[in-house]
Amino acid sequence: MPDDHNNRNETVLDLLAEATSLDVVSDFLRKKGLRHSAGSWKDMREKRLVPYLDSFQISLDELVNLLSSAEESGDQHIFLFHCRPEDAVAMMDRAQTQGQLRAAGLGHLVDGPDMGRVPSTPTIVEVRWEAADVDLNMVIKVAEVRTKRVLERERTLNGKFIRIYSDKQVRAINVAKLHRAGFLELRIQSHDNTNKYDGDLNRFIRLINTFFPIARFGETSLSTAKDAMWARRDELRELIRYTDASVVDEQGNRIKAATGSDKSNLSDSAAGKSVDYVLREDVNAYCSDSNIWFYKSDKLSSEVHVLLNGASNEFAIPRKCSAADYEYVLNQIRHFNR
Amino acid sequence: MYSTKFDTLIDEFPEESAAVGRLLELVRDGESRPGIKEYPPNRLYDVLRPSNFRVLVQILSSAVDKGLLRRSFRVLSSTGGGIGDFDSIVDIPLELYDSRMGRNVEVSQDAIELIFFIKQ
Repeated sequence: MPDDHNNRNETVLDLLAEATSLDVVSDFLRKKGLRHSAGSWKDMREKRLVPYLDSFQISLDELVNLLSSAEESGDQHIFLFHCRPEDAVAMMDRAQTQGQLRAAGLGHLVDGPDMGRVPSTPTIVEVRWEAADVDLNMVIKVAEVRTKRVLERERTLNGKFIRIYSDKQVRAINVAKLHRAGFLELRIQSHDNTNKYDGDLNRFIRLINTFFPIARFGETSLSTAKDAMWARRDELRELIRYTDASVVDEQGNRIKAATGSDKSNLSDSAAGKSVDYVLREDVNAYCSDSNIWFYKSDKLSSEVHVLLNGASNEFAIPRKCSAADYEYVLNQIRHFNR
Repeated sequence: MYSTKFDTLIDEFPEESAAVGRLLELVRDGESRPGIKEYPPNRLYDVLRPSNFRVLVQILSSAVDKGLLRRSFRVLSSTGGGIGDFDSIVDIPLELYDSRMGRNVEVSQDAIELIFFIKQ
């Protein structure tokens, strides 16, 4: 039995290192009033987590819950949709969903999630609701295996240039979250080597279409948020900073402003004002994409980087973050998109 | 002539008549001023405000078939700006001369964007 217990600990610690970040685990320990600094995953594991588990200062269940929420937040491209609130409430119906799960051969999920599962094909591993007096939202979590390709070496052979890659199988998590107000987030775990997510998004939509039929949704454009945040960037300088901003006119001409260092801010810069000039002079010009950073604050445990580009309803959080930080950033973007 | 073609488009997408009407305004406005006007699908989604992206794709496809818009696949330089427009994605070569950098580059899928043009 002790071996089983240790194996389970090891598995959860392995998954935690793979699916989240040091900042997230450190923040979890800090909130529990424990020493939380660690320069590496090895230190975090050997000097913090294992001793805390052994001394019962934290429990494995707590780490499992942390893993479950952390693997759903950050390192994702997020696509926003909307539908009528009454449609959302109908789609979230528990009895109906449980019937759909059983019909799809996923009846075991009614009793709980498939924790840590690495399925050979994309598979729904969890369906849950967050409720107050009523169900506020419904979450569908899908696990899949991706092949991560790593360049090993280059060589020349018989006049041919050859690059040799090694393939590593990694677990990826995609999440759909429908809010009863008629707002849907589809979060696709980021790839290392592309910015195009059409294929991933379509596959994900097909997998969850029984529960959230996409024909009932429209894409929520983020252009209002892009324009509003850029226009108010000086006023918002305590909240966000810009490192890149692009504006495009109707002839396809583009002005891009970028900071020299990724620690700087375009606010108050002449480069930023050149973007304003184009927006002022051409009523048809628009903010196309930008790189913004939400500052660490009493509401945000660490700085969060956001890419506002790609599809009209898409943004990305390139690094793992805590669930609370994700919610904060999402709410800010939705706030500016009104 | 445009009106007839747009009437056909409205007949095809009666529930999207407002979006098709905005497309007509966009085309007329674009024609009235100098220079070729170009729009990526994301911008057209914002300007035309259709019910969803799927129906936008259908409207744009039909508008291209009727000659109201022209469509190209553009290869972008990593420094910004296009380095080649192609009628079909299958026409794009694996390697292309990047005039903005003065050397050949491998074309990745991320460097290709779809553009719709007003004014031939």
